[in-house]
Amino acid sequence: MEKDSNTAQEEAFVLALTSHHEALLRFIRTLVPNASDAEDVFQRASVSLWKKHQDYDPSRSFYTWSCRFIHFEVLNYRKRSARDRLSFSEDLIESLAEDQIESEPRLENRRQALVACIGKMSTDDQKILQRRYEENSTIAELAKELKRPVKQLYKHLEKIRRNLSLCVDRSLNQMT
Amino acid sequence: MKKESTPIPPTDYARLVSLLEGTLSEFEFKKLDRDLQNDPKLRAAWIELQDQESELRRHFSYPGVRKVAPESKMVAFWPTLAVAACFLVVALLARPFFFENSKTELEDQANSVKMVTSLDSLTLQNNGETVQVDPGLEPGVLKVLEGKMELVLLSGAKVAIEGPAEIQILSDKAAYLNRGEDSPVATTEQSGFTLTTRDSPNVDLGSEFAVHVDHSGASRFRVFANDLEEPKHACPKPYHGPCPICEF
Repeated sequence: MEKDSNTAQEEAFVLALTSHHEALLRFIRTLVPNASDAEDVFQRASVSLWKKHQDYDPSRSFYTWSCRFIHFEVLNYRKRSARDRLSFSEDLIESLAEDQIESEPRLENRRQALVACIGKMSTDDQKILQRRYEENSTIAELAKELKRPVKQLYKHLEKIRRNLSLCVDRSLNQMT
Repeated sequence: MKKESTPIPPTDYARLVSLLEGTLSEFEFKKLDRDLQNDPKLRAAWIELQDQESELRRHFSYPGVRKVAPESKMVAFWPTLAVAACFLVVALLARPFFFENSKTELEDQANSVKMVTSLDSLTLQNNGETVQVDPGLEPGVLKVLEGKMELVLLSGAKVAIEGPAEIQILSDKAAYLNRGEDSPVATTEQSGFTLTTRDSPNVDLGSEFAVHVDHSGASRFRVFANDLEEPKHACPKPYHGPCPICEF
């Protein structure tokens, strides 16, 4: 009976971890700007979370509980890589972690508004984003493919991102 | 809903994009670190930019899939993901295990041997037809209206079927007999092959047996060698598909 209960708890934990994969990765990316380092931290954090899975209370938010452990994993990563990588200071990591958890409901509204804003973009800009994200192309690869100067494309992508962000702001402000 | 704050200046936004793209110098990085510590508005903009970046990546990688809050997301997508993953696993497991047969279709035709490339709803009608199975065969339902055929799986299990019969091949180690006359099934010691019917015990590990499944799905086993295991009822009753409960 106890074995069944442990198995059920483990299954529930794996389900929760799987379903929060993207949200936790987003949290890490805010604290660790380099994308591949963020993936590395996520893998290490997943192991730490698994070791602590018996402490998880399913009646509480899995996201908030996990972020606490991930926060420590990010600090450990910072110690390991401080010499050879550019990483945020400890104070900034603390502040960002706190802000990120508080912002989650607002960010979810932004994500929903973002989809509508993508639909309002020109077809050309949508194609640029598609190549950039779907095919995971670097700006240099994309510039070569589109036969455009790298610097010009970099600025164009910056403008697309900013326009999207402003569009999301406008959409949400109209709703209030 | 809280009103969105006024946007940060374009120069600050450009610095955040440079941080995102990893194009800041060490000096610029450290300055931005200090500014982020001191300016909550700049921190909020960084969090939003990173979040937008993740969402764009997700949107263009999985178009048409809009996830809601994490808690409800699990409820909404988990069954679909589980079913999809299950079918994928079954397909991947089964694909390389079917027969090692290097004969080409033309060679087989020359020898009057039917080459089976899909098990799904396959119907054999010619009495005494010999069947070779393509290595890339997908799992599925095999219907034998009449005549005999023999499947040799990579696990070593031999499944001889005599029509009328309907067998669902799940992998190299598992099959489910929907309906069939006395169908001898011979397996090698190591094959670990399990044949299941709606109300069967599992039979495996070197057993040689025949099974009869009637129209109602009830089965009767005749064992030629080795022992029958105690009924495990690995599959639910009634059984509707290949996943995910059957033991392999």
